[in-house]
Amino acid sequence: MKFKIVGIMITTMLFYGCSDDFLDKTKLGALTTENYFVTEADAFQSVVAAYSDLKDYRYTGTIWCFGDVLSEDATYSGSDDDVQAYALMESYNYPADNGRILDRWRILFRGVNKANQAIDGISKMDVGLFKTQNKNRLLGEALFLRAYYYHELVIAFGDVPLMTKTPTINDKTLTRTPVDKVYAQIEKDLTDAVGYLPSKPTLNIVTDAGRITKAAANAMLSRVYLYEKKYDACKTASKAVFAETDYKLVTNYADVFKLSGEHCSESILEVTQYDSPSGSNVTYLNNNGDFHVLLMMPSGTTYGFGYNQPTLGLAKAYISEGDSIRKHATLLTTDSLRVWESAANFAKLVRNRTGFYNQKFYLKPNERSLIRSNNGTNIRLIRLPEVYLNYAEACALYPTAGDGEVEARTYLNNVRTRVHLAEKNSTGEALFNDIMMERRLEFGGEGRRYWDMVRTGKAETAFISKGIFKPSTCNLMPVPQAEIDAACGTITQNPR
Amino acid sequence: MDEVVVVGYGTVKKSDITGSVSTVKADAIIRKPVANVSQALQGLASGVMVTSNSGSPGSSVSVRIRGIGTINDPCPLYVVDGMPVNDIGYLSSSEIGSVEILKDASATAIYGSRGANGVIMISTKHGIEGKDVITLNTYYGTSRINTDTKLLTGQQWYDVQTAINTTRTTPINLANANPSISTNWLKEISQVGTIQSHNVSFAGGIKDFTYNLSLGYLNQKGTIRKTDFERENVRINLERKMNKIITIGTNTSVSCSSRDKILENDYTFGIINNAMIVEPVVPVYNTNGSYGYSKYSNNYNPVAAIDYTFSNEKNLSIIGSMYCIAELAEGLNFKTTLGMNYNRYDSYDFKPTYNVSNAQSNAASLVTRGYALTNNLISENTLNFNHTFNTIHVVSATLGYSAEQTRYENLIGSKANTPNNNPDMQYLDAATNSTSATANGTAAESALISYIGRINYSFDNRYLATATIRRDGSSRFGKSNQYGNFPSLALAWKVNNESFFKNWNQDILNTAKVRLGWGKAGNQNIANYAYQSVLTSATQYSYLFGIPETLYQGVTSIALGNANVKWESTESTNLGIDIECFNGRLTLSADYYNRTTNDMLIVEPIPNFLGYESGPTTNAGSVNNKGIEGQLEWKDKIGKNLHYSIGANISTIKNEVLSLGGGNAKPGVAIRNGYTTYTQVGNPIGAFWGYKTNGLIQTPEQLLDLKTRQPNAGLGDVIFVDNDRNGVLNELDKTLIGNPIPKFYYGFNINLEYNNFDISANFEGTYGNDIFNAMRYYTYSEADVTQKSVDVLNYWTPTNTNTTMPRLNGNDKNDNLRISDRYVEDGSYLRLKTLQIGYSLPQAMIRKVYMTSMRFYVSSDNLLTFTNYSGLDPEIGQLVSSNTLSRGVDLGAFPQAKTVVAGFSITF
Repeated sequence: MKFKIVGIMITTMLFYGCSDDFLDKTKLGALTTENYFVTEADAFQSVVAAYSDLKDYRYTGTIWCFGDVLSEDATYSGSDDDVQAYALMESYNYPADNGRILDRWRILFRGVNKANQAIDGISKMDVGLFKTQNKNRLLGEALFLRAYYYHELVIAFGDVPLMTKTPTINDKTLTRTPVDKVYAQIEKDLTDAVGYLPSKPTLNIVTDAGRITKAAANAMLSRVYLYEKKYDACKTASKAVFAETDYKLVTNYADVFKLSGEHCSESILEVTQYDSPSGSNVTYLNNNGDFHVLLMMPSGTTYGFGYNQPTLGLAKAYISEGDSIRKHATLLTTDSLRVWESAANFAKLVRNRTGFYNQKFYLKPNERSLIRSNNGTNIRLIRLPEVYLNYAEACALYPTAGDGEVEARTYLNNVRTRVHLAEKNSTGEALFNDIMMERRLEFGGEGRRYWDMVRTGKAETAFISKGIFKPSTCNLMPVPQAEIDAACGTITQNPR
Repeated sequence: MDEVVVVGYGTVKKSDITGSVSTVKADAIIRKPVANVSQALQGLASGVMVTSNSGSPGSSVSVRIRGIGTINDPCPLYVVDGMPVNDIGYLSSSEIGSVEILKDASATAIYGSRGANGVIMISTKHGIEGKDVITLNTYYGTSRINTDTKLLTGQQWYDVQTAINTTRTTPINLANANPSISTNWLKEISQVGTIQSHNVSFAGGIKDFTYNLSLGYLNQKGTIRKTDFERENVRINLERKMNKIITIGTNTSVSCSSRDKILENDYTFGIINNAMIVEPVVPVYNTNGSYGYSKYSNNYNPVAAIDYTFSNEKNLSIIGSMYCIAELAEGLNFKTTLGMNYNRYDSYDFKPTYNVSNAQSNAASLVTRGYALTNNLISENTLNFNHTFNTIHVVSATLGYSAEQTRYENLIGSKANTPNNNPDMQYLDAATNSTSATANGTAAESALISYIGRINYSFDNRYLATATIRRDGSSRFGKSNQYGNFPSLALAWKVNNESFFKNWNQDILNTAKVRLGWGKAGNQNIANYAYQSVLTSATQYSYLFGIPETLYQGVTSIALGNANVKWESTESTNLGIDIECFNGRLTLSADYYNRTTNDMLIVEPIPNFLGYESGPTTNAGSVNNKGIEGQLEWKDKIGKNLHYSIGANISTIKNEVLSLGGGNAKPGVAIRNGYTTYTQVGNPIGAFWGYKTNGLIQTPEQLLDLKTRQPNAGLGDVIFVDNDRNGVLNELDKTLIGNPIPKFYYGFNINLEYNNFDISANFEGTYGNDIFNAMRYYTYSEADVTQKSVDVLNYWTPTNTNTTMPRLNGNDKNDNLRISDRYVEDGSYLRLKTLQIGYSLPQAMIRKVYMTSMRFYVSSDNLLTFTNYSGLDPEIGQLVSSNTLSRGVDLGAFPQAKTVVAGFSITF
């Protein structure tokens, strides 16, 4: 009896809880890194997440508030407090604690991280798992995104920590990688992506519009090489884009920026946005609408904040070239605003500091979403004319047999004749200056001017109306102070 | 001193205790007319700080043992008849046999990864062989809250607003206000509460068999409408000695409760909050019978808000264990226990359609229904050994193994648009809007394996030593840190058994014992799976493709996991002394403790370039608590018939955050204009943080002097102290403005028995703690339209300068309301917690009706309160028990009630 009962007790003990896996409890009802990258849907979703930072307004906001506002072509507007707070930026005394600088830094790195997660995860997956998705295509998209985010980082900050793997906590002591090494990785990622990505004719626009293509990777390579002043490589990459004949200029320039012009024939990459059925005025991050329409639209009259206003200088540049087509497509004047808005609304216009707004992001009353932060205007990230002008610039600065000034003028004039401007016949320095002026007019209000002037060393003279731009300290923005504080002393500051 | 005290996995003679253990007797608990046993512990034991989080019936109670051990969950472990439970709200006071509180780590280390914040051991009542007893205990009473809000009358509000209007750029239209209406909103929503409790128990036993069956019912109607609590308890405790070897038994309880509750502690829509801030000129009802509403603000009519509240929660707890003890040999037994803890929680919420005002309206009714199920199974096995060698070496040892697993699952669903607001339509199927339907649910599993060892050694009954070790393996941690060891060692010296002691005057000093203990215990109350990196699929991480755009969901990791995360561990040392004097009439014990929590979990700050939105949860913080505790009791009689006892206890706390692992200060409880508490290195946990003030600006010279620091100030505005003296007033000038943790807390009690009368009084209080009166954001605002404190009437004017209230100013450019010491008040209080007077009928009289005793009594809870706090009640707990960073912030807390009950108890 005695031993029987003890026996039973001991057996109970052994059966209950003694098995090896008793302490192994998997997370229920949620995905973890441990149970992910099992199906092709996982792979696709990880790439979708890597795309998502492209539409984060905290990054895209810097496309304008750096790319346009820090150039001579626009100024920060909005409330007096906002203008006051941005005055140091516009006078090229970039404060290291500026929120926009921190936003650009952290959102782009979040994009890098998500792209790394996707690349790491998908690379390890067996190709046989992919039935409806294409493994290489997904990898190509993630590689492109990593390269894109890094390029947006290096043009602003120079050396940045380079991560090509999903980071762990041990990476928190990383230092800044020299910019040329980062560029080498960008080139490699884009080159790999070109090999992986499909070209336009193989795609179904109904499902694929907005996804990264081979042409986008080549166009991005063309842009990157231009920044690196690798003109020969720039030409090759540009010509790879031209070889895809599906991309062509739209006849009417203004159409490109209309809602109906989304994914038009000259658009190589767009950030897709829509009027989300579940959007609300407070979910800026979640509603998948374009916050910039709200930021840029005129204050008072519309629900916009009137953040950045083009300058009279930009208007004069159009006028002196006789470029009325692009002027009207780029600059919304107070007078035309009066035409579009009701009289009662127009009367409420406030804080109109220059008399111009960004026409490319203006929506007429009947085009606006009911939810103010939810307008569906796509952001045109890469357009064909940019590749034309990249190519023209490379040819003008580095003429070689067959790719010389003749070619440069041809592609420059392709852009000009579309807007009914006379062809240029310039050479040498004048040709280069014409190309740069063409970029200014073609991409007015698209956030490219500041970077073009900085990369070509023209910023000091071009921005004189704004303030003293000292290339030695102004070419790069300061690393956010918060980052230097958080980073265990391993992140150094740019020259100040 | 030879009572037996329950400690972890065993019992020990009180005189042989080596650690720091407080005992609370059942009769002290049952005397208190309160629903929750935790609440009944208030003021009864040193080292145990009990604070009610709300006066709402059925609400939670915060219990802190020896300070606050962590910024995370600092709740103690409860062990009821050997079963570990997280909460004891399911118990009825009448079920309690005794309560032991294990305070220092030398006593709690035996509970390993759950012992860091103290252990409250509860034994329920058992029958006694040969004595069958039926006990009936019943009481009924009423309770009231303080409705003296110290707020303005309608006319006073009107006058103040008239004065503010002269400074407003757009004056409010006071023609919409009727100054002859003076609504005291708190009074309008409050009522006389009731409490009734009925218990019957059958206990006793015959040779080798004991039993205790008890039934209980408690019903509380709250002091604010629609707050009610009801609980039914059934308990069966049985023990049978089957033969010389085997004893089997069970302790099983079933407890159901139902609670109606209102929205509390919500800074926007909290009902008591709104009752404090809606203008008094708003009538409860308009003359046409509709609800009145504020013409100037969006705050809700609190009466309507309560009328439209339908919120109920139900709990079912089935907690039971069966055990078997085998006497394997003389002094050697084996005990195995299998236990189950099943808890089902149901929630019922209904938001009806209503339209009180534009702000207070709801167009579509909404039914929300949820349940959560927690099922915990535990197996415990201990081998106990006891032997005396050579008459002077007494050894007892325990070896044990336990395994437990817990599964939690919940489901919550909602659906909109019921045909009407009637109670029979407040169900999901009655709701018609199927596109509005939502369903959410989560589940979690955890497991714990433990190896337990303890050895007690006593030499010549003079020197005692206890050593324990527990090794815990928990599923909450990654492979590398799944197991942890928790050792302890305690020594005691019974001075009175030394030969030299015998020479002393034994009539004065009877016994004396010195205790010294050290131990390490853990806190595993962290989220399950913290070691894994969880992926998110929030809408933000989606993206659009195609024409027309289709939204695709993205999935990614935005927070870094920490595979090496482990429990917080608390190391403590204790030095104590127990003394008995005057033939046992005076007992005294005092302890000094010093406990440091290391490896406190904090979110590690990471650089942004890693691309994660938050860092990993890391064991990096550290907190220290130290203090002294004393407890004394004098027990005697005067003449033949007057028996009395006087007891007192006091506990001090010095709480300091030693490290946050380089992490940022941790903010807690946001109100409109910022956080009220900031936990940072060098300060106590949850300390109040803000600007210091230095009176009002009285002279143009002062104003000029302040021009750079407070450029928008005017005469009669508040002067804020430039704490870092750098000539600029900014965030960096914020400093420590208050401490929610008392310097000490105390209790004292008096018991008298004279013939058949008995009287007992129990006082308790805190000293040196502050309260952040967040209601002052409204009631001290000199700019807005809300109800104000009467203090505002003494506002500054050029002719009334001897005041601390700033000038009235409709556009407060100086931001007088910024978070500052103007919100902080002394929260010390002293309370007559319990007063009970009883009369027992003479034995001669009741014996005829087969009774053994019959006693009538009146009892009270919170009869008297002494405090300088200006709010409704100084007992301000936490928003929820586990949220330490919200301690002492009064967001419009539900005040504690004053309760008086009458009852009787009969035994047969």
